[in-house]
Amino acid sequence: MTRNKLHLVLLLASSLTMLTACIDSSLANESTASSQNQPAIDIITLIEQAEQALAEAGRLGFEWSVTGPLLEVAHTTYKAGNHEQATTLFQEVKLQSLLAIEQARYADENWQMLVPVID
Amino acid sequence: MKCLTCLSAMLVGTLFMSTPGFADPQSDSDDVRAFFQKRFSNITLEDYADGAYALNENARMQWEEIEEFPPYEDAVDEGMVLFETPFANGKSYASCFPNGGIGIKQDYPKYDIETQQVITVEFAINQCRTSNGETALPYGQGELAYVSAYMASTSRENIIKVIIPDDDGALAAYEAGKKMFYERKGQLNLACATCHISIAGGQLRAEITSPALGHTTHFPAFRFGWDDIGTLQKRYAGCNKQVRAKPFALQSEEYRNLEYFHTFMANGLPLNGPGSRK
Repeated sequence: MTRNKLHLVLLLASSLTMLTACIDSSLANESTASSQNQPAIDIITLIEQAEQALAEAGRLGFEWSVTGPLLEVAHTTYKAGNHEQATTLFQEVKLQSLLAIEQARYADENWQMLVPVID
Repeated sequence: MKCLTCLSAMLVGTLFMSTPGFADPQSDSDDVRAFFQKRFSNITLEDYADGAYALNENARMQWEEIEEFPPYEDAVDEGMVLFETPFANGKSYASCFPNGGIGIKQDYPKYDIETQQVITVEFAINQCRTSNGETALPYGQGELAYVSAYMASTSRENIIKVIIPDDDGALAAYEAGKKMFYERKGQLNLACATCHISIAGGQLRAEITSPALGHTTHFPAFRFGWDDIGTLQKRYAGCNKQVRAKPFALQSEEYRNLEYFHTFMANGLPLNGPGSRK
C-alpha cells in the first residue's frame, strides 16, 4: 500500500516536471520565433526610444558616462547585422537612460537629504 | 480662527526655515563648518586648506616631503612667462585684472551682475585672451592652467573672500551650485557630498576622502595621476567620471556655479595653491 502511494507520488511529480518543461520549452520557442520574426520597424522604434531617453537624460544633466559608449556599440552591432544582440544593447541603453531620468527626478525632490544637519 | 491661521503660518515658516535646502549662504557655510568641527574636533579651520593631509599624520608627512621639491614649480615658472608675455596687440593678462592680476585669486569666483554669470579665474583668463584678439585656450590643463597656477602662487596666504552680491541671479547661481553638490549622479548614484561630507575622513580603498571644506584652496594642483598641473574643474570632471556620470564641459555654467558654492564654503581659509595631491 505504502509502495503504491509512493509510486503514485513519483508518477505525479514526474508528470508535473514534464508538463512544466513542455510549457517552458514551448514558451521559449515562441519567444525565439517571435524575436526572429520581429519586423525591422521594432528595432528602429527601440533605437528611437533609446536615443530619445538618452537625450532627455543629457538635457537634465544626468546622463551616465557609460551609456553613450554603449549606444555606439549597439549601433555598430546593428550595422554588423547582429540584430538580436543589438536589440539587447539598445534595450540596455534605454533602461540606463530611463534610470538616469528617474535619478534626476529623485535628485530634484530629495537633494537636501545630504545637506549636513546640525543637532 | 485668526490665531489658528497665524499659528499655521508660523509653523509653515519654521518648517521652511529649518529645511536645509533653503538656508542662506552664510548659514550654509556655518552649518558645514559646525558639521566638520564636530567630526574632526582636533583640527583647526586653517588645517582644512591641507585637505585629507590634515586628517592623517602619515599621509601628511609624505605630502610635506613632496612639497619640499614641489612638482608644480616648473608650471608656475612657465605660467609667469606666459602671464608676462604681451598679446599681439601689445596688452597682457595684467590689463584684464584688478591689481594687474597679482594677489587676487581670493576674490574668485565672482558674480558678474551685468552678464549674470559666475566668473572663475580660468574663465576670466580666456575672456581676457579673446577680448584681446587671442584664441581661447583649452580649459583643464596646459598653458591656461599654468597661467592660473602662477596667479594662484601670487595669492598664497591670502584669505578667501568670495562675495555673493545681493542679486537674485547671484543667489540662484549659488543655489544651483549647492544643489549640484548634493545631487546623486551617475551609475554609482553618488553625490559630491557623499564622499566629501557624509564619509569625509573615511577611506575609499587606499585613499582618505577629503573634506569638502577647503577643497578649493590649493587649485590648480599637481596631481600625480595627471602628471601635470590641472584646474579644479578638471577635477570636477574626474569626480563625475568616477561615479560614471557624464561630465559637463569645463567652465560650463554648471561647473562655474558649483565652484561658486564650493569656494564660498571655504571663505576665511588661506589660499595655498598651487598644491600637490595624489
